[in-house]
Amino acid sequence: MLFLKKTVPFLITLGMGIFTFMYYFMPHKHMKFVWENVSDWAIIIGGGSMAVGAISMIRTYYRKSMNKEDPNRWYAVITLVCMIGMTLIGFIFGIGSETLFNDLFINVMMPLESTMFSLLAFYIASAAFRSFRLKSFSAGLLLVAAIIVMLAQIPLGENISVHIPAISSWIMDCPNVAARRAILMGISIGVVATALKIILGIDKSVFSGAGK
Amino acid sequence: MSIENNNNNNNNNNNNKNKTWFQAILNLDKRFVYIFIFLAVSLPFFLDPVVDIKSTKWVQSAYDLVDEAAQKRKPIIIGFDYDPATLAELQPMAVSILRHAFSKNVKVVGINFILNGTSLAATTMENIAKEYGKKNGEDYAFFGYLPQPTVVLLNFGENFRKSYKKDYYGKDLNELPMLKGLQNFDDFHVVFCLSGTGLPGTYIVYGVDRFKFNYVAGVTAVSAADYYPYLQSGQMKGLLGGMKAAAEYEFISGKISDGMRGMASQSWGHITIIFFIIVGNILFYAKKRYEDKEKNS
Amino acid sequence: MSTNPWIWVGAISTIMIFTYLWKENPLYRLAEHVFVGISVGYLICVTWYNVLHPKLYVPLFHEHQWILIVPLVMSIMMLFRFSSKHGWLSFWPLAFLIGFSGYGIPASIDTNMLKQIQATINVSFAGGIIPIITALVILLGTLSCLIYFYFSFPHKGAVGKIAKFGSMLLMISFGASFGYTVMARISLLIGRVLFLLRDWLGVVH
Repeated sequence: MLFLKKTVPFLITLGMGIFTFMYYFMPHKHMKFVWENVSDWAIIIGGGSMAVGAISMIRTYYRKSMNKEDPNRWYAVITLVCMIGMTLIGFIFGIGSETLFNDLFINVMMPLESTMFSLLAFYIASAAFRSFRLKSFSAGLLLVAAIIVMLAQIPLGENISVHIPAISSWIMDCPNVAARRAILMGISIGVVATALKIILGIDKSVFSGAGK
Repeated sequence: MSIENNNNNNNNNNNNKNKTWFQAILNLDKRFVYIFIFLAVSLPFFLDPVVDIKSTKWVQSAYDLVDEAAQKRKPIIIGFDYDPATLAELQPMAVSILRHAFSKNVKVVGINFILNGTSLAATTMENIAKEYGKKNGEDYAFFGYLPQPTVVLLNFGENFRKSYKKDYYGKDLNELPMLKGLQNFDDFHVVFCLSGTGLPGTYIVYGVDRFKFNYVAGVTAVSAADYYPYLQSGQMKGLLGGMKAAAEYEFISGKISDGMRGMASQSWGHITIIFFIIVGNILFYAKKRYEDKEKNS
Repeated sequence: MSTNPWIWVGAISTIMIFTYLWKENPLYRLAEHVFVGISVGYLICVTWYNVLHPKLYVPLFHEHQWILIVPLVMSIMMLFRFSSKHGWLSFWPLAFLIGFSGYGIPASIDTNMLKQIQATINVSFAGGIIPIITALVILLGTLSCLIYFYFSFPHKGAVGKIAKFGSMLLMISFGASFGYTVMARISLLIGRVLFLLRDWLGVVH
């Protein structure tokens, strides 16, 4: 049983990992034939795995809605009703442009999601007032760079001095490039190391957590 | 939130005991700050909201690439990889690029790797196409959503039909006249990826460096700084960062829309934030000085 | 003011979310739960129409491409994730998807390391004093930042000074990022305010 639970997933990862690694260097026609099939499978499995997310959400909210001691259980009921309603509308009327499904997306889902993220404008204003403190030289550099870039993004910056947009542009094209490039290289080393650890079976933590 | 508010009220009560004006302002209920920023963003719309702006070189080069596509009569690809969360920044970019392309009779293929943005992309393409009398399948095509962008991009480099069989509307891709003779990235003049996620980077790793095509990323301002190394290395030909870049694109193409309309509010929003930073620091140091004095005495 | 009922629905949804700024309240919670429900319904439909129908259902059941039984079975295996007894079955399709990261190893090294090193070395020193300073900052700055991230030896003496220079560049970059972040957040609010004032109330044009 351990063979099926641990060894087979490891062998699949190793096999696919070696195949895709080699495909990068050798896009030979036989390799391409295999790639075309498995890449299509990956897209299908990727689509199918969305069901895992949906089922997980349904389980959570169903349990919540059934808990009679929870005073907020009616919210869970609303979530489930909305989910079932939207799904049925999509399957009955289709998802094209002039459908009820599209209207619900444009006029309900879109305002709700974009407004949720727009709340961040209020929080950043509050953070600027309460938390952005000039406590050290490094904080000073951060503050000065931030103010220059903020001013350069608006016409006022150019009205104060024609150099502000130029300095901002230089900051982005020069010190920013140096700093971001170093971060990029660091991330890349991390990505490669993690991928190797998983493919070679050193890190098996990805194959855990089932049944929760 | 309610706990935070209670804490806030407690803080306010404590501060009233201290009786210093700067402490009172520093501990002002954050809802006053919210009102300030809301007014700073809202009021400029009642004045003349369109302000003059200048374009930056990376936006100009993005614009020039669409112009070149018109001259060479080659289509372009737009990756509508954004959802309503980043709509305010990326939608004006998408609208500007589409208007520019359609006004110059450049054909557009739309793709999408962000599920929540699928209908948004379709609606945007349809609305702008209507403005210019363009027809689906003849002047533009939308392939819809697919997961696994890495494999889809790699397949696109060989032949997009490997991953996409039908368009968003369920039509076979071989039935769309505009796609005749088109196979892969080589047949398109420029590829745009508009996204607030890490997808613009994925396009470079799995597309640009493998298949060598002109590539422009349209990103949210939050992530704009991350992409400058790719500009300096030449992996990206242009960059549109946030609403300002959308406004610049509108300014260059002379088609004023939400990007430029929002710039006055953007200006006042920035000024308010800078004001908050400066005032917050002055009050913080005034408070610190006062507390030091108290300690010494 | 708009007479389109859908615009009203959008405006009410927007205001319901904004009420959170005052404090958490039933209106906000209602909007939040409606959003979650609709999003999952949206996800199910778009995945079916854009992915599973054209790529699995039609080729398998109409065109009889029997090989597609493999991804179908693997997709079903994914669903065993919720079973504590047979959960291990979900590891197989997961292992299959993770295996694709093999391609990412050389691709990531090429894009984010080799090409970046190449671009750092190939900076142009021609064209006057400012391009020379720019080139030097990119070249030495990238090295300094890398040294700042390298903790295998202590940041003392010359190494410490180089690392300090690297940290200064990082601070400037983070400051620039903050400046851009402010722009991003304000833009998101502008989008909603414009919707309320123009599309709903019609008080601005």
